[in-house]
Amino acid sequence: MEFTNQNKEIFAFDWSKARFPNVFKMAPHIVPGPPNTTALEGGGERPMNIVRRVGRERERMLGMTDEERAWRKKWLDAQKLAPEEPVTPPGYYKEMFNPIRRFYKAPMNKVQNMMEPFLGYTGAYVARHVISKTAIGIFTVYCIFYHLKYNKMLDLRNDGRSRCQYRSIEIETRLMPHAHGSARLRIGNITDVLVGVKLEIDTPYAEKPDEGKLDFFVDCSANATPAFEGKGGDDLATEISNVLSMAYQTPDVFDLRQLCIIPHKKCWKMYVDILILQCGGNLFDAVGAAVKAALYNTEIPKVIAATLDGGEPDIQVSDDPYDCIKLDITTYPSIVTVCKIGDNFVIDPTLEEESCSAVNIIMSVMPNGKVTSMVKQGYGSLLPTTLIKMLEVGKDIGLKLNEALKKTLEEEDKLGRTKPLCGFLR
Amino acid sequence: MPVDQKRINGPESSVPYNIYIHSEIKNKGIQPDAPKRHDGRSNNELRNIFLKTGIISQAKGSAYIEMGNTKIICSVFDPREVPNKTGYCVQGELFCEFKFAPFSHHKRKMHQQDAEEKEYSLILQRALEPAVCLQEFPNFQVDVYATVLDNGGSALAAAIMAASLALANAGVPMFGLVTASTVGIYDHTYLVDPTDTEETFCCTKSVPGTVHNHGIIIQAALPQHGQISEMFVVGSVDTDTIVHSMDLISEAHKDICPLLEQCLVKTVFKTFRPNIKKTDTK
Repeated sequence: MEFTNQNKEIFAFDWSKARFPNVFKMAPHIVPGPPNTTALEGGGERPMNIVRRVGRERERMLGMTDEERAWRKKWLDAQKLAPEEPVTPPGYYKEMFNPIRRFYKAPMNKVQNMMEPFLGYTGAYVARHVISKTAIGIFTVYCIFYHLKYNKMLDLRNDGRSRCQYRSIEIETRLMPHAHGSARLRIGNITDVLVGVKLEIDTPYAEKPDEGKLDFFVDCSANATPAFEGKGGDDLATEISNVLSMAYQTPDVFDLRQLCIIPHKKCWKMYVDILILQCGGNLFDAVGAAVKAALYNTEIPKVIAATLDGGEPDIQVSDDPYDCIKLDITTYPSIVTVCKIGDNFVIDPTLEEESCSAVNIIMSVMPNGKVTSMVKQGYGSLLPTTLIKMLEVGKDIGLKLNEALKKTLEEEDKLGRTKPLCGFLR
Repeated sequence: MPVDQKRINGPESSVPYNIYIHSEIKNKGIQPDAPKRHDGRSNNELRNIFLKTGIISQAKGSAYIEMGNTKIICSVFDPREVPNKTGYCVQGELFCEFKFAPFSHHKRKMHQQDAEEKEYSLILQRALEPAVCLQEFPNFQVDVYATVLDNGGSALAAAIMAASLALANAGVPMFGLVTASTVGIYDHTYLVDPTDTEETFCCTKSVPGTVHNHGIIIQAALPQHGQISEMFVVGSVDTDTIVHSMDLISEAHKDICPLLEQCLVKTVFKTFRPNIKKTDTK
């Protein structure tokens, strides 16, 4: 037959000298042989193509010759394994696996060898892999479980709050009939602060003749903790009143000139008295917010006549109790304590959390985002980057606190003067 | 304010006379945009610092610091048991007292501590506490007394440095030295190590109704560990300004720290070889 001759021709063809495009052009019906790889690096040999002519459908239709059948049979026979096969050459295992893999494969290899007499090779092989993979899986699950169970990134505190969450805050204003402004603030039903604002007439300081006076007094009553008994609370009280007076010191916040009646002669002196009734952590924030609330409803009686009579000041105050001036609290800061515990910052710490932390930062933030005072507390020190982070956190929280406070106070104001007192010691 | 009746105090309602000086003379001096400050420094420049240890022979350790006109003397005494303390305390305590001498200001200061001095005492204590190994003397307290002889500005920062030097001189175990510096902020001007006039200028804002920054930042640090031991801000400043002035202050700390170290090394040399100067001259 014709094609056998052709086939013979192909067999005789020297592939190493063939150049492909030419072969295809000259005889497109010839089965493509292995590509010429002499040009490649090392000129490697490709294995012989066993599909050969029948790879193409048309050729397959023509059927096989006897010669081809014999050839194929020979190939099929060659595929049968001899009894001693497969043969693993010596050093094969070493070559296939690097020392590290050999090291960690060793225990399971032993297990596999032990199982082989009972399960056979395949059974032992499968069992070995199932066992090891399951063990790794269980280990991973436990790791994740314990990680989630015991680690602080959960953003969850003992009382169920997240790190930047306040406890519920209760504010009630206009409680004390004798004070010009008053407020009571409770945080989480524990910390309890009562603030009263009283106004009296005084002579201004000689160096600041056109300014009034604003004073903060803190009383840590022994009702709160036995530790405050006697002089025990004095340090804390000075600390709180210092933070407050620093927070309200700048004229940006509180312009003392609005308290002036007659320069050099008479001015209002504003006493802000803070009574700490119960202490459950986070006193500074509580006091800061309570003072702001008390100043919000402070009513300065209107002076209807202020004259100098022969060098002596003469003042007449309006006798109508509703005729009064209110303070503008839009610039007043609120105080935020950022408490560092471990690597994290906590807002509104409870007593337990306060005792855990080495460093607190107490900052007062104005509603426009400016910081009017900042103090570190505690015996620890800080890295500058941590401090900056705490500063940012405190500022954000302060802005939110200011906004919430303003909203609540306005809401309470809408209830009017005749609102029933609900929370106060009843 | 309770007054100490056993002392003969000055008249109760006296005022410094200089408030009656004509205001035009009083207010001149500080222009925030001027290239140089009124004492000839640039804005980032520190004043000259003079340090000396062992100035009070009775005290365990003492130090004297002079920064421009600011003069502070500081002494540290032997540890003593914490008074009025029941029960055992694992950590020791630091007791700090900061006091302005009556003649250190324009206005005469009282003999008793006023609110400002009490606050400064607390700041001094908090600035030093992280640097002292408090666990080394449980149930005991170490007393630190700082007296400002002359207030020429940045008194608190100078007192912190003097106190850390005095503690080191007293041989109190410490983790490192404490340095401190002050920055006065007025609008966009940062005045490192301000004098007293600059301090009052930065604290009291002259233009009401505008929204620029003003205030004072005091920062104490342990420069050998890169830690901040105390931060004190007063005024009205935004956070970016605080961050920027922290950079300025850390630069200043780098300059100051070698001075303190040098002073201590000198003290040690003197203790071991007290006659070295005499032999040299001979």
